[in-house]
Amino acid sequence: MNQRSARVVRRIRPAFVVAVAALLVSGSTAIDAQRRGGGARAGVRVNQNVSRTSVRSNQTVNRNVTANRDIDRNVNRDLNVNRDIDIDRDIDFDRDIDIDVDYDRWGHPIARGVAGGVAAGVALGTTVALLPSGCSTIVVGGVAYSQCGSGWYQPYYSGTTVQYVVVSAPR
Amino acid sequence: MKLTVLMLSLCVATVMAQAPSVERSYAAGRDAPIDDRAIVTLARMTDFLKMLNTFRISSESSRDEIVDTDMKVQKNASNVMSVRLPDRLHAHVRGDDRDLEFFYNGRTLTVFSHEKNYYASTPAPPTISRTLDATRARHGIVMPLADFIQMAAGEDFKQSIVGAGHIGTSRIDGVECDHLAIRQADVDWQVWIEKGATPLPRKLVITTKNQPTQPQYVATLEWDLSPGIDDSLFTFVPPPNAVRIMFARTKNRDESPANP
Repeated sequence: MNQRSARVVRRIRPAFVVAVAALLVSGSTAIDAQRRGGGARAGVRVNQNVSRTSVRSNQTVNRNVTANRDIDRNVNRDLNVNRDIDIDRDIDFDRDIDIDVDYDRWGHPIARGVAGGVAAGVALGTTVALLPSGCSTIVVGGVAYSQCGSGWYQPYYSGTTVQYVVVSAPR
Repeated sequence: MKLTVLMLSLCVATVMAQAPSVERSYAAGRDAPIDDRAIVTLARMTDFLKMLNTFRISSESSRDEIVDTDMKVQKNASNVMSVRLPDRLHAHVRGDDRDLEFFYNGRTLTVFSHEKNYYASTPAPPTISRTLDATRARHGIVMPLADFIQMAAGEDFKQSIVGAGHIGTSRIDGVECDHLAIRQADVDWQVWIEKGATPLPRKLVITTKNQPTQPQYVATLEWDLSPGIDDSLFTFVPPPNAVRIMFARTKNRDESPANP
């Protein structure tokens, strides 16, 4: 098998969870855990701290979920954004996805996808909070994509916020 | 005299022995870190909530977010939570830049964004209580006023409390309430509990202490204890143009701040 032709290798990793911290754009609803953190890696970041909306700690919640074995109930059905991209080049996208979700000083995301997608140098697996203009939604094989020129994105819910991961064109 | 003292001691000892061990530590009075009046009032509320089966909470909430490094801005939302214990939940959250509905019918949890017209569904545990926890652990989503729903579902909150005071009587939306202030390791919270036969929480304030700016969350609540709720409310039927996408698994991060 030509590994390079398998540009996107999707693996199910039951124990692996994505830290999509700080990806959320605006959250008056209730994303406690996600907005803070994840920022140690990137350069300029806006402090995304928010107040908690629950007095129960994450430890309590996690303990309950683990005790009830609820955590992995649907692991195979959720999108694993941490996919391996072109393993020949040893690019590891299994990391906190914060390379492209910097915010301006007033809390708006400043990274936007580009219409060219991969061709324009946006790597597969990159997540953006905003699409370029002129995209259309296309469903291929039951999966929804946003096509923006020659660039393809797969929208997904990160918490209650829709994000877009750069993917190769579906066949 | 000695006999009287002895008998009094015996009485006290008997009372203490009969009280559950958890309660005993609260029976220390107003100068103690945990004021018994506060705990009794809180227990009245949680006991009342546990008796509820079907209810609807309408709330207005505001939540501090930090921008420009250390400036607090308030984000607002109007939320309607329709609950039928143990396994039905519908939430409509309309806030800044978002208009979301959640549906839970005992099997599946769906989130639907009205602006984006995207929805995602995921298998959910068999009760509201477990689903609220699982949703938070898997996706980082904390439903509005989830704490009160958890209380109604029987969750005991007392073990996390390290301090509690009865501040006084207050009025929320014109309703006389007991005002309690409660301390935990990582948050302080205040709750205003209606006086009288329906000791419902009318207001909640949470102060997040482990962040330098100590952001706050404030919610005022209106309760409907006999809402007409049709079972179809809890099952999502996609609108004609809605597109299904997936949930990503996210990490339920520790509550400690990333940028202390």
